[in-house]
Amino acid sequence: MPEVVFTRPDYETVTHYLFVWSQKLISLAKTNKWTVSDLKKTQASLRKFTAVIKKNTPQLVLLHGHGNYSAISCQNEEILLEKGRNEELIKNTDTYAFSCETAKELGPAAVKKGAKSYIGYDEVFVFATTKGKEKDPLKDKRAAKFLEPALEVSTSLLRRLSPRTSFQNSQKAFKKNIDSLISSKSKEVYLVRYLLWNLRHQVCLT
Amino acid sequence: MRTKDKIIQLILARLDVLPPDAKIAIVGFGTYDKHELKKHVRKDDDIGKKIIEIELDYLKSLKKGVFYA
Repeated sequence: MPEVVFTRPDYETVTHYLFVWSQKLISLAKTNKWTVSDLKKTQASLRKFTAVIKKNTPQLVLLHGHGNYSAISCQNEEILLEKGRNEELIKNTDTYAFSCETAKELGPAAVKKGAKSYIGYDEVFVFATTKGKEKDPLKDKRAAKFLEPALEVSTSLLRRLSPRTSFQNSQKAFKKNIDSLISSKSKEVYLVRYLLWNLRHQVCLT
Repeated sequence: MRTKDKIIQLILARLDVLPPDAKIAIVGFGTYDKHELKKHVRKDDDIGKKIIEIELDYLKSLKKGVFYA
């Protein structure tokens, strides 16, 4: 069976939302007959990630966490992948980095070093949340408008769709949410500016 | 009033439409309600600059008719 590796840190509000929302991907992966390495919380460390990558040679890597132009982090801000340091760890993989900015420098560097594809964002990823829902992010409908389209990349990849198609499915999902907000009388229409920003800054590098 | 000050006033007005129970999470920075966002915009720090960039990008999109394409 093909192997997928997840990193799912969880140490403050933003990573907690990503952690909880990405939980359903684990069962989807198993349903689609992937062998799963789920590096969650304190297991989301560079040491464990490196060990899993070297032992299992995964085809798919799904990263969640904070990032900047040149690096993505894991639990407690530890740097996981950094341009010029260890981007070759994801060579021969399709990778989706659900984080800020890494498609600007880290992604291109990884593709140059042999990654098959790298989907991510070349700017900050912005989403809206609801006060009081932090302890139960799955019930946060405002966050859902952002996290569902962003996770469409992962769900498509786990269904064995190509990176380009997975990217396009996510773009369509963002557009659908934008259309639904602007064509309704929803008071949530202010969210469109942030959805459009994410849509425009999501990139697929091959 | 300088152009920069006019832009800041415009962005502050636009942030006012956020409901009181909404927070904006900027992955890599943190989560902020509208009052916190407005403070950052007034300070013109990294978060404030990013919020201004997002708002101006959106307004330029409206001008280009992105929703009618």
